[in-house]
Amino acid sequence: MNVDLKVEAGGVKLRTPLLPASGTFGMGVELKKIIDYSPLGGIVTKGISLKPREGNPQPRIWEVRCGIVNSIGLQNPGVHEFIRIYGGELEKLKLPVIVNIFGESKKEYCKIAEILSKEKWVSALELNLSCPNVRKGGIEFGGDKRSVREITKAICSCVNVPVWVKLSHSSNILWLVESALSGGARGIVLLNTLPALVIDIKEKKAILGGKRGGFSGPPLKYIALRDVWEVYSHFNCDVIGAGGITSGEDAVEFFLAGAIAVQIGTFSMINPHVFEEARNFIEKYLLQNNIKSPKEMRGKIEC
Amino acid sequence: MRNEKKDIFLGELEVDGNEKCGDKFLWLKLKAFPFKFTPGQFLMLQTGNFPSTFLNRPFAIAGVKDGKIDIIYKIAGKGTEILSHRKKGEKLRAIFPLGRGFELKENKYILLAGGTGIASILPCARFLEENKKEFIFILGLKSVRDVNVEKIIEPGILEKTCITTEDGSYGRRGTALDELKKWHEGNEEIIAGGPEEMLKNLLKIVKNKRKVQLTLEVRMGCGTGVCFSCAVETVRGRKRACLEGPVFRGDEVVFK
Repeated sequence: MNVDLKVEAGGVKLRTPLLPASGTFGMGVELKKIIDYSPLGGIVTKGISLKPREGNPQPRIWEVRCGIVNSIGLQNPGVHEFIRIYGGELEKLKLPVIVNIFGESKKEYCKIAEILSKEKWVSALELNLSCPNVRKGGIEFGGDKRSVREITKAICSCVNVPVWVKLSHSSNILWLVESALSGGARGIVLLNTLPALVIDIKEKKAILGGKRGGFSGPPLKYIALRDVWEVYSHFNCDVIGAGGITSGEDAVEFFLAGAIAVQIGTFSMINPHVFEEARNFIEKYLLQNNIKSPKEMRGKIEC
Repeated sequence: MRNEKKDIFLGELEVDGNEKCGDKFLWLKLKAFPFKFTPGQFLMLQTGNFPSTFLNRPFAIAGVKDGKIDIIYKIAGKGTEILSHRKKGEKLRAIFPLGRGFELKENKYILLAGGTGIASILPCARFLEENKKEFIFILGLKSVRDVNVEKIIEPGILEKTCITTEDGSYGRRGTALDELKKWHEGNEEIIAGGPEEMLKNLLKIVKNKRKVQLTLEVRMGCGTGVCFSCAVETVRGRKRACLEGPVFRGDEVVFK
């Protein structure tokens, strides 16, 4: 039996169900010097804003028990410079490119989306409605279901590429997903980092330069799996799972919970070979379990 | 682990030795293979097994001899503390060589190292020595007891090395910068690595910042340019120290 790793996730055809997570894969081109991109189904870029953003002051990253807390602050060159500097290389990759976008208002989100959707190498837009590291935008919108629906709807109406919505964990996640789906989102990415804070008791202050940060790392997997399963079993929609994935075994857990594809973030910063290792494990798992494709596993846990 | 198509390697290296080399410094040897690197480049290294540590840590490549990589380090935090206990035969994940190293095209240099800055500057001395270029190596330590210089620096380079100690336990009492003032006339190429305070003060006293190359020690996440944790302020905006550095020219870098 031949296994087939191809999936269609949120309107994007992927040759494997493995993607990097935004913020841990740079602009999509930096790791070309280190790894082979063939295990990747596509690229997910750093969050891009309308105007250039400097990002937060140092320190921007802190290792904590079992993970990290980061507060990068969405440093990026702005949409025009992003296209000018990286567009050519991204097009040459001949891989689906999902551009993560961030705005401080509905108008900004739409403007960035319009500009990017004109580039033929942009396969989808991932709306960052959940970044915990910035004061305005992002999580501010992602916590309110009316905003989620309005922004998603506005963007979907002005672009002709699929739109994904990326959310962080919250107790009203089902409401937020419903809003995103009713706004036209084709894919739901669960989860972004968890809002977090690291404190120095000697200096009596918050350690990170941006104060507020986001937690990520292996423990996030259990929270993400629960959200993936809840959302998939409720809505039967395309869920792209993310959070604490460090291996092919973890990825399979997400497929069983209901994900059609997964994103590997923090761990790929530590071991960029994880994509290849995960791809190899998934192939072996499918063969051993006589399953043709990850699609057949989707949501199959008995809960 | 060796991928012939890539210049940057990622895989596990075996610890060949990890011993104290003075009161404060340690010398880690990793079994690798001969590879091309520019002095000033670094390596990302696993220190502990999860969950004791998670992120890799950056270390300057102090040298490569017979396919073995030399890392000179101090215990600065949890990662290096755990690293200091790793034993011969243990395997550690590594990504190398990374970053922009020094440009060493001129015929004469003043090399300046403060403390563990020696790890980035020593390979420059070796390169210049091999290529028969003129240099003087100023090494500033808190105390001569911190590091066994005779063990770490080979005789040919040691005779061109000027050691200063803050406690006066060897050589000139004072800092590396105090010694530099003796040698600096105005037009020398200077290469420096060490604490930020030292580099800031260096830029205040040199006459031509363009002729200074600094290596910055910055907290890093990935070390490969993907996470933007290590951004430093330069005249051209915030740059990733792991990708566009860690070596910067004196007229590029902006210290607060």
